[in-house]
Amino acid sequence: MRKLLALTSLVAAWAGCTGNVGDGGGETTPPVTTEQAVGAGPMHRLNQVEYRNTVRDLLGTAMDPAANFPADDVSFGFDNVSAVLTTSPLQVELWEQAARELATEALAIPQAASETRVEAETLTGSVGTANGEAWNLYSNGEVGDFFDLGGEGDYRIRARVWAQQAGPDPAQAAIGVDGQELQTFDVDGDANAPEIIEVTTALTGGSTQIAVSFLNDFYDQNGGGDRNLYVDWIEVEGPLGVSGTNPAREQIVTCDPTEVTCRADIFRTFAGRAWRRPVTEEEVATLEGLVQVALQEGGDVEDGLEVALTGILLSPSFVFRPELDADLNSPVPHALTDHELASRLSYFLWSSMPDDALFAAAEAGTLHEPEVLSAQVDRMLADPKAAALVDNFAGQWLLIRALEDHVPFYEAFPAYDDTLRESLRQELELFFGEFLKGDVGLDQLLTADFTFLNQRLADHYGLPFDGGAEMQKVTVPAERQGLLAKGALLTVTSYPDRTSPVKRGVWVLEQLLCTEPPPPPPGVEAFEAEETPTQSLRERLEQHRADPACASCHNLMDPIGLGLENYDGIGRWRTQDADAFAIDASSELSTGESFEGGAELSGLLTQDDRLHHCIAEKLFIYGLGRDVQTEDEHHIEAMLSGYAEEGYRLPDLIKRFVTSQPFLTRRGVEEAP
Amino acid sequence: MIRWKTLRTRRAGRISRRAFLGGAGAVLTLPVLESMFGDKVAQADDAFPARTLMFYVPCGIHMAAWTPSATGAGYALTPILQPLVNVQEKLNIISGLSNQPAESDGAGDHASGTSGFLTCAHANKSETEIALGISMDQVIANAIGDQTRIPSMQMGIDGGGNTGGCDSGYSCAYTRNISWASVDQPLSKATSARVVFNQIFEGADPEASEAEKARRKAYRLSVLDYVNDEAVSLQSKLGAEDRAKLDEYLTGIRELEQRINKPAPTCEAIPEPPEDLAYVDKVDMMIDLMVLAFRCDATRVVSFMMANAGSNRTFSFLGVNSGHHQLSHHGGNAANHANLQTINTWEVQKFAELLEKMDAVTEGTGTLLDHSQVFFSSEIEDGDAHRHHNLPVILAGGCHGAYTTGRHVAYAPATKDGEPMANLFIKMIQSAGATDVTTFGDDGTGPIDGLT
Repeated sequence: MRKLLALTSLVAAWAGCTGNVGDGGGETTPPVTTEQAVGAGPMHRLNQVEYRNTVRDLLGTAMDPAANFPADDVSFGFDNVSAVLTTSPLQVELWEQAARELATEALAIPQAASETRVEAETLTGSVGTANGEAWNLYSNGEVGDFFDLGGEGDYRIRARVWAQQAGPDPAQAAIGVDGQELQTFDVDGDANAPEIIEVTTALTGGSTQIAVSFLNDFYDQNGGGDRNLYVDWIEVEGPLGVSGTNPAREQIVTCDPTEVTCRADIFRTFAGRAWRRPVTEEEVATLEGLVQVALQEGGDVEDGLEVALTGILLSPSFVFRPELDADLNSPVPHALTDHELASRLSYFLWSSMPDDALFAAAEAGTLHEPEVLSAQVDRMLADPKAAALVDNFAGQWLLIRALEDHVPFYEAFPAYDDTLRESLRQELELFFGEFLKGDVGLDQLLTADFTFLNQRLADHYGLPFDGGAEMQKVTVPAERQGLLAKGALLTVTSYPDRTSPVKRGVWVLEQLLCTEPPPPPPGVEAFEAEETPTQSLRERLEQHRADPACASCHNLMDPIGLGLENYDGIGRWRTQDADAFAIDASSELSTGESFEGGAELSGLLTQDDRLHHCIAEKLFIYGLGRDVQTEDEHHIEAMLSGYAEEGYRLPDLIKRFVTSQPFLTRRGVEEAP
Repeated sequence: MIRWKTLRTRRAGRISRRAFLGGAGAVLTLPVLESMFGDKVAQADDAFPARTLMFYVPCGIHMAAWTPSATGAGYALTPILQPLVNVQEKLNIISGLSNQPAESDGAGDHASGTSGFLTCAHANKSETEIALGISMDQVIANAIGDQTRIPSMQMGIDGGGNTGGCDSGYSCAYTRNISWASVDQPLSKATSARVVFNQIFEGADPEASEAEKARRKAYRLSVLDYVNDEAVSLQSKLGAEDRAKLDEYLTGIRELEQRINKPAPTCEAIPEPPEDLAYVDKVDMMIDLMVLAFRCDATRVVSFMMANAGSNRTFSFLGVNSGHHQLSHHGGNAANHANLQTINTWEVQKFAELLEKMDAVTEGTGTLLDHSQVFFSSEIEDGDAHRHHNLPVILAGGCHGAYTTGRHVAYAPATKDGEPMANLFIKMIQSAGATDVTTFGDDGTGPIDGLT
């Protein structure tokens, strides 16, 4: 098991923390010290969440092309692990489409609302004739024209009309768009009392046919009269409510793009932000080359800008996060550039690109200094974008994201609905958020006496509460204290119809103690579901431990989960299970310590040496997008040294992590000769 | 401003002007038409190419209500197969095939079965090191794919968002893909009807002039050229592992370039599908798009996943209120069996609708279905036992006389040492036009007998 290997090398490293690892390879390469040595991983590709956030921050777009990207592969519990983020042809196709659409939107010259009026007598209707100032529709038919509208939006269409009345009914007109009637009107007035008919509607823009039609022609040959509709003019105004600005364009096109020096500035700045690093003059010149191609094809400068921006957004420098090694053959770790460091930091804490302040620190060349780095971490954790750590780190580590797909059997849990699920999710997110703020240390992760409730959740848990639908921080009794009492986690570690002590035990072992139990051996029979159970779940699970082939692993998993049996499959407290067997939550860890119930279990786990080491490992995997390798073990230990004395605060752990060698340096992967 | 034919993601539900000019009616049904092979409606049958479609459903089948008791022609349709009544004569039900390579190492039958579904290869059980084999549809695509704009298309319904792992230590790549270009390259599937639509109609825009279309194409090719150079240049600065990552990128760039250089389809445009389709509407739309892709000759090879491996979808619109995967571990319970049968019957009904739509497209004296081979199966047999033999298979379409249809063909023994699925795939590969292929997968020995 990986854990075992790590422990062995850790012992070796402790024995000689000033010792050397490896022999350095080539003849003149110096050996790498334990302090220097770090693990390695491949180049990172922006995953779905990161792409979404990056285009949001780069362009301010509301478009979400990432919604259709293929799902990211998951490894070591997270979806941002570089080694398994592959790039399929479909992904490239969708990147190309997204790049085009994002570039077009970013550069769009805003269409101010315009108003166009066309005199109907200058048109040719489907029937009728021009008559002075108007077009006379003397039979059913229409008169209209194609209007070249701006972009998508609401438009107001008006027409001035009157009728020659006859017969019992008033004349009826309709306004139509592209052959579809939008609204009909009774036209009561005659030539002395023309009226304006109007309709406001949403249109897609571009060339649009707009017409007024006459619906109820009437002609009485016996002198009863002739009904006709006269159309004076048709007018279209819109798009309504458009302010006429495109902030993205304003930020990118800061000068006159018909000048080549201006274009160079535009590309240097935009590519610098998009690629998250300084851009060379050669790269700028190559982008100008794309503009020239567009001009040669008969396009204009605007087309050229779009083509260049499309290239920038499709470039591997955008969709990947390349980090370079000066000497590809050397296994000796070296410092990242400040720009590479800025990207690592922002994608760790925000799942997005660096902001201006971070870029500035990188440009000043000071970002790698520990005090500067720590100050940036404080700033970034206080920024709303740090919600990404809740959504993506806690979302996966604490399985909050799994709530979405977990569907309890209705027959077993009729109380479970969307409102409850939403409340459970918020509770766990807000709970984690308190640790992220640093007000409470991670030593209280399993025992903290507070949680967040709304009325629904309080009722679900059977706790007194006098608030409403909004989540509030409250103090709770022992049976609801700490992470293992959170309904969301208890739910997703259950089956749809019942609890699973095994699943809960496995979760604790894997996610809190980093001690993964081996998988079941082949040929293991699934549980026979009895029609009428004759034993409690606990008694049936005893089979695991009665059989020596099963006991070695189940002695690790089952006791933990059995201690949580007071929480049912959707996290409610119970003293007997669905088949009316009394809950017996007394248990014993494999270390021999006995306990009864979740609170005592949480107390024991809090004392476990592995807990904080494991949390540090999870943060490491998520923060660097790779697994903890032998060389990294020393640095995890260093991260934890002194951390307890300072109160186990998560922001501190994060700062210790980002100032550690694995975060600040990199090395190549040695290739087989 | 360049007027791209865009995915206007915010315009859900609005009828586009192009749609209106086309005169087509409802978004979700397509008019019955001839195949769009230019204007050659009265062509001889053999002018129409062979098409291949592989259709996957997850979590096995309730076999007690699937397997017909009689074999040969004139067998009675069982409850799950009942929806196929109108096309029974044009398909075969096949029993007894075995896919031994698809068996898992320990837990993880859904991943091993799904990855082995079209590859008949044994997946390397790892979350990080993927090793499998090429899928049969890609063997076909390699042989005939250059005759169409798109060598092959992969479609599906669920992208996949499993938190914390996909199946017992197997990579998510194994559970979300059935088409594999090589031993470690899964071909991601398009799960948006809009995306599939844009793939078929790429480059076609009735609103644009020829000059404008030519310009757009030139712009796109110049961007692809540019990023290709960027990637090659970046590769020279990176180590082997990172160069391999960029190779994946470059493959995608090159394939897109090839596609853009092929002529746009001459199919009549249909209304753009809305974004955010409800589940059943999306399934229906995807089926329509598969038929359209064949009619337009955009591609001749399609694979489709109704859901990802181990899908736990709740089919509440069928009155089933528990998750599919959970039900499939039925434990012998009668109520679970009944619910599974309901789900399976619906799956077969959708398949039947696909076949009927294909049969409604005239091609010469026959139909699109007569010129195709359409395969339906699941990654395991019974969902509780997780067996990888006696697999439930429907093979529809005569494929230019390659198959004699209207029968229940049972291969014996129906054990794991039975006739390999790979041998059926060799037969299908040959029927699609790659006549020199005689092996496939880990256990293929030659084209299967008994279906001609």
